[in-house]
Amino acid sequence: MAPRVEKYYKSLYEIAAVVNSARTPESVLGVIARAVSQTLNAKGCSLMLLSPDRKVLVHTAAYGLSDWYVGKGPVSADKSISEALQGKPVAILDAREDDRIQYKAQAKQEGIVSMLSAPIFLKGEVIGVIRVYTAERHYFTKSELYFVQAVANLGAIALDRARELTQCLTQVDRLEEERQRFVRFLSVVAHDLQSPLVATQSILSYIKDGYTGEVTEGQKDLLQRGIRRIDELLVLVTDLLDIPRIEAGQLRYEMHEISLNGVIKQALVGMDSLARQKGLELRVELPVDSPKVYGSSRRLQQVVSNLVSNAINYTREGMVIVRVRDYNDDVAVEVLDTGIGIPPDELPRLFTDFFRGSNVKRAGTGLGLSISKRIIDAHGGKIWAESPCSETGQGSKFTFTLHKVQPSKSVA
Amino acid sequence: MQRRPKILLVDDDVDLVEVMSGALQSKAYDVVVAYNGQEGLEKAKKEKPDLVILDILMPVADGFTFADEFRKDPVLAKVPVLALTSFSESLGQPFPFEVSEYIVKPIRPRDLVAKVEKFLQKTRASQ
Repeated sequence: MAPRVEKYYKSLYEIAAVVNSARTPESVLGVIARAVSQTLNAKGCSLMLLSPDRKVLVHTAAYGLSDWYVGKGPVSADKSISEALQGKPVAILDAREDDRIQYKAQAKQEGIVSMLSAPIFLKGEVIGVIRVYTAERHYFTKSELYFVQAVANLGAIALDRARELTQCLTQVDRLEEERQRFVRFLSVVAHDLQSPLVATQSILSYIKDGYTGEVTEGQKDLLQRGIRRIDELLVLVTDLLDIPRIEAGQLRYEMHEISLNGVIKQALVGMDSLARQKGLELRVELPVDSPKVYGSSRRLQQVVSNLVSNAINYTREGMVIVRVRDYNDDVAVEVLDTGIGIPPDELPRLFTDFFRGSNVKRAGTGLGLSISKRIIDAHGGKIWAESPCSETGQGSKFTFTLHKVQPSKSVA
Repeated sequence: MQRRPKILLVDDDVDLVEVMSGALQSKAYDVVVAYNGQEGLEKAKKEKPDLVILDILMPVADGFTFADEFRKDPVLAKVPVLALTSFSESLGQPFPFEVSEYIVKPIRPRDLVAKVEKFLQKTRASQ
């Protein structure tokens, strides 16, 4: 292969590599200007791009030229440029004397003799001009012209991609800002909705507990009912605000490596007495070595509490079992009960918003399970229900899975 | 004679402050009240309370502002702080100072008094 052709290939190969990895338009064009100059042994090379309104040609990158020459002024009266913008390459043997060149004197002072101006195409449209300058008289060959145009068009593609990437990144930043504003808004709403309820509830408890004077049993009962109604509203408000927060990806910021046993133990605080009040046995089977998961401790506790309190609420007699099954990559938390179960035709809708089972008489928002599903989804896990439970043949069984954090194996 | 334990209550909710301080006073505690973190800090320095009940999210000078300054004071550094939070408020970041206990609102005033008693006994026992 002729040494020159080989040089072209090498240069094209290098430019293609830059084009593939370029992140900013400037970096692409600078590399091209330099590569063209060096490959053709030219004095310099510049790339000029049309402004978005296509009226002005702007020097975007240059190699081997003085700042003074690059900044000489607009090239609107340069005929070789106008022709190149029409899509036709123009070679000039002596730019110091050719009338098609607008800045002859400046070219002379810069030490420029021959000049090649070629269009840069993107998607069939001229988007600018690439120019090659030599310090001696030089007849530009066809292969040099093809090389320059190939490189310039590669550059145009890279430019396009870099611009799209910049737009995407700006969009991502904007969405993230939006998300943060939304979450802040929800926090304010949560605080403002809860504050009056919290205060009212404390006032009612204060009266009920006799701090303001003696209270009759009848009054106590009414105050207790008021407290319970406010509790319902607090749960509803919390549930309604939880959904958009989880969907805004807020959980990502609460996730750490945590012990699953710890999550379950925390979630079960108080559940024991709840079960005992109903005469149920609450059996907890945890592995000796707790599996580690990457997640939000608070939110996973919320899921476990939700499943276990449902199990207790919907079981009249028998037991509730909470257990952990350790698989290779995943870990499953199972909650089994001997309760009223779920009608088979309602199983598919169990995890949808505001779903209430037809056999359910207790007060509730119908959001608990749908929030649990959102939480598990956000952890990349799965949650499902079976009724009757395949093992006991009665009640129901809820399972959720999470990916385990693998214990780091020491390399001996 | 043992002096009456002094409790600093910092919360922006006037109604809550009234019932919480009412319940505490009924147990013969001295109650000092502040309605934002800045005021709380000033009163803490002046009154040297035995225990602080601190609402974390307040509109003006919140619990974070309070906490930053509070633990720098050598005397106040050892005072137990019970932090009040609402159950759906995600702090997003860990509270930057050690709190003796988090109490989730809504709280029954009677339960708050019980918690305060427990903590004061613990402090007394460790002295």
